[in-house]
Formats: sequence, C-alpha cells, structure tokens
Amino acid sequence: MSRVQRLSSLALVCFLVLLATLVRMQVFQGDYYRVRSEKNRIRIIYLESARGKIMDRSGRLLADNQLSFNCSAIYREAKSGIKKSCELLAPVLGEDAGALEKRFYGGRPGAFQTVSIAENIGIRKAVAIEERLDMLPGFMVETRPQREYPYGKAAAHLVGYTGPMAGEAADSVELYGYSYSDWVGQEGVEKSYESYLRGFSGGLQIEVDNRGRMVRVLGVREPKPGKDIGLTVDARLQDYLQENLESKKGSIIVMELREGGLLAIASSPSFDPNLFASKKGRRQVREYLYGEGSPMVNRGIRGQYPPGSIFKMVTALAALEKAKITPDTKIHCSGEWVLGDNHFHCWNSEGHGPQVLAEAFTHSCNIYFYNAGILAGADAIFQKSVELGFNQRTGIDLPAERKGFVPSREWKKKKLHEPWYEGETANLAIGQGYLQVTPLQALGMIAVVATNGHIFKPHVIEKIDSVKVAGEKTKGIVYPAKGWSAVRKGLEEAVGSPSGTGRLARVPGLEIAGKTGTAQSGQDKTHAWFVGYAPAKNPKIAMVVFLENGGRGGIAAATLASSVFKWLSENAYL
Amino acid sequence: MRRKIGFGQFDKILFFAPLGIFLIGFLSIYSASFQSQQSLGETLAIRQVLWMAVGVLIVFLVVRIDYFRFQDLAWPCYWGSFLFLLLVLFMPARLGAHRWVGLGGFNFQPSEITKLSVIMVLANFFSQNRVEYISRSKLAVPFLVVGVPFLLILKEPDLGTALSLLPILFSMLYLWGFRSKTMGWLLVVAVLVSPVFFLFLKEYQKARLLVFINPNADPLGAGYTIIQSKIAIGSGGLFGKGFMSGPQNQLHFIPERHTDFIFAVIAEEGGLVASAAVLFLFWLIVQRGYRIAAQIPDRLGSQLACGVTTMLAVQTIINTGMTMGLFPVVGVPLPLVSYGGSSVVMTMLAIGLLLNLKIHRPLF
Repeated sequence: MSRVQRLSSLALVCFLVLLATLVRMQVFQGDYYRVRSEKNRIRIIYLESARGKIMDRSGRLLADNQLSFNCSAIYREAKSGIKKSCELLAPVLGEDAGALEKRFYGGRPGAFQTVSIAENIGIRKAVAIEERLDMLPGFMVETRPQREYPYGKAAAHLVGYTGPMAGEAADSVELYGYSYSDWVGQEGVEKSYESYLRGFSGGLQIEVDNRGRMVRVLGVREPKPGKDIGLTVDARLQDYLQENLESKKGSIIVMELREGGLLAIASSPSFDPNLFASKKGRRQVREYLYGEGSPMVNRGIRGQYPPGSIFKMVTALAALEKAKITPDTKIHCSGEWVLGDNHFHCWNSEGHGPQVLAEAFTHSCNIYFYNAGILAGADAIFQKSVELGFNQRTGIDLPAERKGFVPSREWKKKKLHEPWYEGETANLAIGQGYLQVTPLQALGMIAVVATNGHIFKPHVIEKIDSVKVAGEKTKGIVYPAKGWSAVRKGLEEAVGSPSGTGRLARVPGLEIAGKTGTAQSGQDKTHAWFVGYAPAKNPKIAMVVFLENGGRGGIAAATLASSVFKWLSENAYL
Repeated sequence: MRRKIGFGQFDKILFFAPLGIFLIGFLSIYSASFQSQQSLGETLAIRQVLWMAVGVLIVFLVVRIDYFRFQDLAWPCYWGSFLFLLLVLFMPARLGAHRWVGLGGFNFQPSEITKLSVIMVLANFFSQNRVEYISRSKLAVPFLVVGVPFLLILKEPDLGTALSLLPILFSMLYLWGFRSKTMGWLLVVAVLVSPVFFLFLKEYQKARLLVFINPNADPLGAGYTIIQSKIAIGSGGLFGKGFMSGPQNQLHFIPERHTDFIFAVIAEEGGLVASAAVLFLFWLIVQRGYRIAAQIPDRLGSQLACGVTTMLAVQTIINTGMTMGLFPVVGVPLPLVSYGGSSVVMTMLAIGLLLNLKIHRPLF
C-alpha cells in the first residue's frame, strides 16, 4: 500500500466514523432528540385562574384575590446585561443591586423560564419598571392573582391560607390534576373546600424562538375560575372575638341553634394569613411555625383540655337516667368527702350544706357530683358522654379536628393493664383525670342540652356559588324531658342566681344559662371554661369560651362570655 | 514540454461532486437565512451563487495552466498572504476577531489564501529536497513555513483554520518520506505542546474547549451551541423535517446556522438522507484527490494533490464532527456549504488545482 493510499484509508475511516455517528444520532437516538427539540420550541404559559372568594354570611370578603405584580427575568436573555440591569432596578425597587443580582443567579431555572427577582412589588413600582423595560433586556413584569385576607388575624384559623404544594402532597391522589407550581389550600376553609375554591388554570401553548419570543399560538385553554364560598360566620363577630382574645390564649366558638352553623370560631394567639401569600412573608412564617404559643393551631378544634366542671352536666344526665338521683335528691356537702382512704374536697372548703341538683349546678358543688357520679357509675358516664359527642370528631368542615378522649373501664384494662378505681369515677364526674375535650366538643354538648337533645353537625359552610348547601339534619337523643329541664334549670340558676358561679356572664335584659369550669391544667394556672346559651327558655345561640391557663372559669371566661352575649344582642342575634 | 489540454482527462466526478454539494449548501443557506418579505435577489443564498460563479470561472482558468508554472508563484503567494495576515491584525474586528481584510467593497479572509500558499510552498520544498539527504537546519524550513502563519492566524483569533494547517503539514511530511515512527513522535510533541497554547487562548476559546469535555457544564453559555446543534441533527431523523421546516433552524436555536453550523441545518431538514449524501459527496472528492496524488509520477504534483486533498478532508471532518459534538467548536467552515465568499472561491481554486493536476500530469 502506498503512502497516499494509507492517507486515503485514514480519511475513509474518519468519514465512516462520521457516518456512524450520524446514524446513531438520527436513527437510534432520533426520538430522544425530537423530544428535546419539541421542548425547546413549545412553551406552556400558565394562565392562572382566580380562586373562589370566601365570604361571611352577609357577603363580607374573608378571602379575596388581588393582582400581584412580580418583576422577573428570562435567564438566558438577561444574563449578559444583568449587572447594569440590576443597578438600574435597585433604586426603583429600593433594594441593593448586589442582592438583586444574587437572586438572579440563585433562582437558576430552565433555559427559557423566568427567574423571579422581586415579588409583589405594587403597581407603582410595576409601572416604573414597565417604563424602563427598554433598558432592561430580558426583564418583564408578570401579573398573578394573589390571595388577600382582609380580616387578617381575626379569621386566620377559620379561613386558612394557601401555599405551594409540598413535595409529597403533589403526588397524592387527592390533588390529581394539579401542576407543581399550583398553590393549594393549606388550612381552614381554604383546605377543606379546596376542590370548590380551586380554579382550573388554563394555558397557552406557544411556539417560541431561541430568545423565548412568541412566534405563534398553538393552542389555548381558557382558565376556569373557582367557586365562591359563603360561610355562616359573621366577620364582625370574628373581629370582635379576636380583639377580646388578644394577648390571651384560648378559643371562643359561637353557634346558632337552628342548623348548627357557626357564627364565629376564634383561636388565639393567631397569625396573619396574608404573610403566606408572598415570599417575603413566608420567611416570617417560620417564626409562627416554631413560635411561642403555637399560633398556627386552631385551639377550637385541635386543642384538647380537661373540661372541669362543665362536664358535670354529663354526670347529672347519667345519674338522672339511671334514676340514681332525682332533681330533688338532697346531698350534703361539708366541704370534704371520703372515699376509701382518699379525701376529696369541694372547691368551697366550708361546704355548701344540703343541696338539690339545681343548687349543685348553681354552686358547682364538687361533693354533690362526686356522689352523683359514684351513684351513676363510670360506665354510665362514659356512655352518656359519647352520646353527647365526646370521644369522637364532631365532623366540622375544617381540617384536622381532634377527637378528645374519654376514659373507660375497658380502656384502662386494655392499655394500662390496671383495674378502674372508684376515685377515678369521682374525678371523671367533675371533668378531671384522663378526660380531654376540645372546645368545639364542649360547644356540641351545651348545644344538645340547649335544644333538649338535638345533636348538630357543626359547620361553617353556608353557600357554594350562592347556592345554599343544605344544613346537615340533626339527630335527636331520646331522653326524658324532665331530665333536660332539671339540668337546664341548674344552668339557668348558675348564671341567674346571685350566688351562681357563672353570674358574671349575665347581661341585663337577657336570660342566659350556662356553666363555668375551672380545670386543673397541670401548670400553675387553671384553664377557664364557660359554656352557655341564650335566651334560656328558647335558645337561639350557644357558645363556648375557653381560656388556656386563664384562671377561674367563673371570672375570666364568664366575663368574656358576657361581653360576647352583649355583642350578639346588640347585633340582633338575640 | 507542452501538452495539449486533454479534456478526456477532465475528471467529471471531481467537477460535479462539488456542484452537488454546493446545491445542497445553497438550499440550506436559503433556509437558514431566509427572512420574510425578502425577495430571492436579496437573500444570502443568491450572493453565495455569485461567489460560486466566480469559483467555477476560476476552475476553468486554473485548469488551463500547467501546474509546473505554479512553482514560481509559490513563494510570492506565500509572502503576499503573510503580509495580509499581518495587515489583518490591524483591521477593525468583526464578531470579535480580526479575520477579514476589506478590499474594494468586499471582505476576504487572508487565512483562506494562506492555506493554499502554504501547500504550494511545502510542495515546492518537498519536491526539491530529498528526505534522505536533508540537513538539520534545512529541515526546519517546512516547520517554519507552517509555524509562522499558524501563530498569526491563532492571533486573529481563528483557532480552527490555524489547527487545520497541522494535518496538511503532517500528511505532506508523511508523503515526503517521514517514517511512521517519526510521525508518531511529532504527534506526541504536538499534544504535549498544546497545553502551552491553551494558556494563550481567549476566554471564549478556552470555554469552548472545556465544554467539549462536558457540554452540560454551561448549558446556557458555551455549551449551548453544541447542545442545540446535536438536538437539530438528532431530531432530523431518517428523512428530516423538510425544507424550511426544521424548528431548530427556523426558530434560530442553532447558532451560526448559515456558516459554521450549516451541517446541522442540513441534518435537521434533510435527515440522514441529506447529511449522509453530503458526506458521501465529500468522500468522493477526497478519494479522487488522493487517487490523483497517487497517480502523479512527479513529486511536486503528488505533494500538491495530497496537500489540497488533505485540506479539504480535514475541513470537512472537523466541521461536521464539530456539529455532532465529536470535536470542540473551533470555527471551521464546511467547504462549499457554509456561507462565505473567501471559502467558496478558495475551495473551488483547490478543486481547480486537483482537476489541473489530473489533466497536466506527465504521462510516461
């Protein structure tokens, strides 16, 4: 072989390698490159749909949408002039140019996607940037509907907030059909009615050139807005309750007794849901999540506490049903009561003397209810409490409700491998011991008593897209009317009588019935409870006031209840 | 000894293969540079046709002259192109490089002439000196002849053209009689020296070489070119997306689409059928060129044919290989296809030279 022939062969080998590479790329990897080519040129532009609004019973907006302006940049286009652009932007946005540049490089997205430089900049800055776009290559002002909560802290737990889908949530079946950039309801009504509130994002499928500029529209899907939701609550009452709970820990829930709709459900400490809507705010949110006093927790449905004396009506109903006592049975209170080796005390160490049921409610006499409880037995009290809605979720249409706990003989044997002691029955009879209830369950109990045995499913929904959602019908408890009236008489006395423990709940001109509770919390300060209803003879409204470590129910909780009853009467609810 | 031009010796394949390549190139340039509301007369493709006409004219001029006459022209041409290479460095930069010299209304690239004049000087030298009797000091001549323009072209900067001088030198040295072992050592030295040159490269050139190793290191910057080019080629598939219908091309994702990366346009719109056809036509030229080099009994002609053929082969291989990601991006035009007057005219001159060599070779 001559030397030229060898050179020729070398060239042939090179050409064959080229040909083989062509075949590999165009034939064997053709599909792979075709997909990449499609991705290059076809872009989906999301047209975000407006989320449904959330309104109170009179149409006051609890959650609304505002147009939010974001300043963003297309990475590839803005890169070359980014330094200059940032210097130009800095005075407009009132931020440091270096920080803007850092944000640009920090949020590095796909080739032609946008990097968010500043969120929620307000219309003035947006206009200022629009005017300078000629000098800001690759920059743009994007608009996006942003959630706004006009009542802020006052309805935070009730209304909830929205946020970007968390990683694992995106994979759940429930959220099928969402894209990763979608925001979903994370709490409250926003979460429980997500499927109605949610709009369906539309999209523009467009063809773009190498600089990301639109060449033509390939397809459109119109965005579908979400449905508006009307709630049973009164936003003004929410506001009023929040004001009264400020700097306290606790919850107040008010229910109208026609269908079981809530007029208000407040929990304190609270948070500002508006912060969740912007990036800046979300940083502050961390403080909430790990902050003192757990402000994110809706104490009304998620807090579980010993109920104390408000539970005495369960004991009374159980003992009456078992016919162990009658409304006229007299039990003597000397201030101290002995069971076996244990000495039990009444809160009034001097004793209340001989008492009938109504008097025992009036004075909240522990000795009377110890005896009533022992007479009825732990099983009867357990059964009665379950009938009244304890130890189970009420089924309210708010997420993550807790179900509380009522101890029973069986439970103790099974879990603690111990027999049940009589002393525990006595403790249970006055709402102490292992017993745990949520404020909403306490409200459910008083509502049953107030309506002579109707159990409501508490709810906040009233209308979806201005169509009334039928209120869940009530189911009744079969119980002799005599029993109801005996307990209700006691509750009326407890507020109405001059020596009643709940007398501070009184409002001139209103007939209020109720029961206070002061529960040992395991800490220095006791929990304060008040459950009650009005008008006493023909109840329209029931209410629970709970103050975590709030001191005595008869003082802190009853006083607060009084002002809420007053507000309700001034606003024509009573 | 003057012989009549034997047109029986006119190599038709060597003449029509370039025309075929040019035709594919013309369509691709038209597709790659078309702007709406442009009349045909305004397109770059038509300007390319004018250059091709000049090129064909040159072919017919060149084939008439006995190539032994070129011997006297070799050194003047070389010095002339050397002067232009110096001059070009003082010309205003276009696209960040000093590659063009303005001459009576149009621009041309001296580095294109340089390649041919270097081949002529080397052929001259190798035909007048025998490898067995050469002195040490004289052996330096071919290396200097290549080295000086190499550095000047590197300075422009035009890394691709500079580098393509080396295989030309190597092939001619090999044909001259360098042993395979010596050639191997030369290659080793070249590889060892290259890191030193790397230090003198411009930032963008370094980046290009680095992304060759890993294109995804900077997918939006230096790696972008090669990624988009590969997508274009691969997505073309067997039959392509059709003339004027390649999204990578039409939507401008392929950079330098009517010049250095035109092969990606051909592969996207014409598929494997078109891209393989282009390769095949180039192979025809290269194969013919080397066959001529083998057929010519005199050493001047054989060296000339070898140098010119290697030049065409190297440009084709580097350019197409670069668009497929087999080589770093070094800016070499695809002969007769990439848009650009200097390249077309010089390539046709080279084709003319090969035709000439075949016609005028001494027959014993």
